Amino acid sequence: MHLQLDARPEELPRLAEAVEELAERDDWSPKLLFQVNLVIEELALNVMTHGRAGGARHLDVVLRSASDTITVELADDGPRFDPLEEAPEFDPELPIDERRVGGVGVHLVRTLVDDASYRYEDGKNRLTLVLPRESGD
Amino acid sequence: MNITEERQGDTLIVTAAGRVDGSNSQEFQQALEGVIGEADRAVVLQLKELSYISSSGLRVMLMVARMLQKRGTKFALCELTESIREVFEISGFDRIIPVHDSQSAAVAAVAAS
Repeated sequence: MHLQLDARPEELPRLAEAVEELAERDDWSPKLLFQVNLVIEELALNVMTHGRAGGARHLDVVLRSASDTITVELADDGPRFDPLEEAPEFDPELPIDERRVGGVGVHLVRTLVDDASYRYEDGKNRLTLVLPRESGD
Repeated sequence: MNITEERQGDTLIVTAAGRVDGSNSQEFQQALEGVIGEADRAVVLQLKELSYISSSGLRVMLMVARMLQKRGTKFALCELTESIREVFEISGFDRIIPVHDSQSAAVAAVAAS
């Protein structure tokens, strides 16, 4: 699956639909579909809000399905930013009054993926994430 | 995303169904704030029909939980699907908002406390 999106949150439903279509064709479990959707949304929404504020206009999403893994590739033309390293620290132990939501998305991503890598190349932020297929069962 | 409400004794039960993501989380927040009255002393959010939530939805849950805490209103969630429960566990949100397996347990908990 390869989808070219405008870097704005209104594109999220179209992205979720495309992921769902692939999941149906490829017979993913509901849990795996949820996790792939979540990982993509958290990173895409960062681009569509923070990245957009810094000038991002386009986001490319590529999904590859193999027998034991799902690979997600994201590329955007926003300011150089590695969310895996630079997102705010998130502490899931903080009480309700001190709790911040910043960083929770990236914390979810880090927890759900097996492997994540970032590079900046040809003027684009490029993220590659690998999810284990068996976690969906 | 769809919100419906019913009352059981003094407890307001709000059922959220569908998807809550970054494209509709503000709508979700307004809908919740719209159905929860200032006079409500106990609120249960029934999530058995919620199919998806991301950090945008968690942010709304946190805002609502804080608003209700300030008012002294009891608040609990119930019947999270397996995937949504996982999101709450990873984010630690299950430690700041009580989560129950059944609606009756959630209603009993907010009424008793």
